Amino acid sequence: MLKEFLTDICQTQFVSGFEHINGDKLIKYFEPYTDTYEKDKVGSYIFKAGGTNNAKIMLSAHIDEIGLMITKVLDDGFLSFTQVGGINPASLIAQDVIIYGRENVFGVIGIKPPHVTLAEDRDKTVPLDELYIDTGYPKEILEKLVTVGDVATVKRELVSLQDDVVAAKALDDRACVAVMLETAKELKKISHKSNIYYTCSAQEETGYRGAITASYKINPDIAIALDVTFGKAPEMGSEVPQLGKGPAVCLGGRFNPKLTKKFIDTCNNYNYPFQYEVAPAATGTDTEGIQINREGVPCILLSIPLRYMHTSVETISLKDVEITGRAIARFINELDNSDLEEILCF
Amino acid sequence: MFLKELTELSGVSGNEYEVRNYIKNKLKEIGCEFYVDKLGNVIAHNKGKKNKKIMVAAHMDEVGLIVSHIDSDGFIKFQAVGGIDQRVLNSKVVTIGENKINGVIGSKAVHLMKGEEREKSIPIDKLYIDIGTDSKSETEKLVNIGDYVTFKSDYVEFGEDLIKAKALDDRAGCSALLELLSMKLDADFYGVFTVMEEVGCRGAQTAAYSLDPDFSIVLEGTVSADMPEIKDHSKVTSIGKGAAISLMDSSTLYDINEVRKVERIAVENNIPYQLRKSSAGGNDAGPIHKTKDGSKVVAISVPCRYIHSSVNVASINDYNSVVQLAKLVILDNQKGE
Repeated sequence: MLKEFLTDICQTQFVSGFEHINGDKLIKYFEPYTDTYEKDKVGSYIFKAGGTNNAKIMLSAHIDEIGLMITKVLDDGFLSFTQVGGINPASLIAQDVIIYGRENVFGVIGIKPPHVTLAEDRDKTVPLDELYIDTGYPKEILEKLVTVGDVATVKRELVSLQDDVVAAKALDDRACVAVMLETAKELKKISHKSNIYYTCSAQEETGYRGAITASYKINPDIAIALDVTFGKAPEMGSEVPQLGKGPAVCLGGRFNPKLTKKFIDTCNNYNYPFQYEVAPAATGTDTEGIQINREGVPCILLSIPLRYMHTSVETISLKDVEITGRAIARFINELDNSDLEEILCF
Repeated sequence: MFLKELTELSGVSGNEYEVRNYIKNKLKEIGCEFYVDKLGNVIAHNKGKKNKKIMVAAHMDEVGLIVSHIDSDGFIKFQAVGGIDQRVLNSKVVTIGENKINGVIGSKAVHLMKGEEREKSIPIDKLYIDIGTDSKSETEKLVNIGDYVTFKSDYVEFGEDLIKAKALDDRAGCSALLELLSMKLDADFYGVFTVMEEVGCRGAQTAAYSLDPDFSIVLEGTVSADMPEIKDHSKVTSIGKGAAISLMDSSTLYDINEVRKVERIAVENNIPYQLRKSSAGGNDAGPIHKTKDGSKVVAISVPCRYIHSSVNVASINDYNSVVQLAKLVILDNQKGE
């Protein structure tokens, strides 16, 4: 179920600013576990599961992904493009792409063959403005299919690796949309008193803009932001969280210390594995926007460890998604049975 | 056309068995006599009218990777097999070994790269394959040192008449040669599916030795630098402009009289063609034309963009032109004098 959801949703285009095009796909998945939903003006989808008290808990995971935007239709079927969000041009070389134009158009991004490439050029990356999408259409046909401003993504199906590990594009942050779905499923079973707002936030990759307006609209008492973090890999230091060992709980000024402690206590009491991550200042996640909304929102940030961030082979463990989803459900259950005001009181 | 099936097979140089088995089965279906030589070349014989010995060669192997080490956390180090630009390896899905274990080649997150790091490509010895295990022992259960690694890349038809696949160099040639053999032409020739072209044209050398041909045709997928910002005279070949007839490359100066003859046949039969204009690159023609006392040789190729990466692009029309032109060249060489 989890893998099917991610297979479907990771293949679907949700480039920042274009979330509304396929947003309705989310409804099918969240509807069984929630009561109402709304799309906001910036592009976020907010699914509400009503409770019995007045407390409002916002969960936030961004639905948007980095992508490409067409800047020019060239001769001989080529397109030039720019980036939406932070892309490493090196990760685009020799990839299949889909341009979401009047219809979905297949293309590839290649580079010059070796014989016109100087040896020293192999050591350099190719800048974005020297890469092209090759569509194979004559210009006059291509112009009818694709216009400047259309977006494109790498074409990638989710790949199963060993031990519940999967690789796909856009697992940043669909992995955490899957976490919310797990939480929603769990809470449907064990019931909850608080009102839960599952927010598929828009435009995180270009400055967590969806989280800013969604948190204004929801006006939550607390928020649980969900994102991915750099997972352990050969090129990383030993201090980063590992795949398969549970969510990384972020510690630092952006996060309410007592709420964070409550989550950690819950994990310890119910044997949910977790890891630590430290961020003294900005994290670049939805918490940046949510924490300072209105009069302020106490936040915690939980992250799924992920390797090769912002490539088309982002790699996570599904185990972490399940653990995190269930731990959050238990945490909400614990909050329901505590005095939230007391927890939040400094 | 056998391009879809052929490009989906794995056949990194030295490990061509999937392609060889496919070709053997096809030859049996066609009813064509063949044998496999000591290096693994498949040598098929189309019997017919004969006034000289003709060898038509296409190589079965493709560029890829080979597993060289498994590190303490279960990540897999590799070396390149054949000429691979390190820049095409970033963010790829691969399959490893006979059991087709899925893996990915990732890259450090762009967020963590310092300024100058972003401008440098990652050298092959810093790249690795991730199969999702977290220990050396777990990886060792699934992957062995020496396992061959193939790009995972679907065959896709797109644009007006283009295809995208891995290994069009030289499954395009293999497919064309299978078509020629299935035509049952009344013209004698040996169809040779060679091994290890990408690592030094090893198979072609021994096959040419045992056949000792008078005239040879090499069928290839060849370089096309037909992209924006490349000057016309540097494009080597262009996609969609027909079969490419080689003038010279790093391995061979093609017999100019034979080249002109092939050109004339193309013109007379309205087959779109172009001359391959570059001294770079080499192919099986190199050893073939130097074996024993030599052989006249021509190369007729399908132009491929982004060659030696996982996303070769070629035109179906060009491919068909290669098949037609090769057929007529064989017939012309075996017609009664």
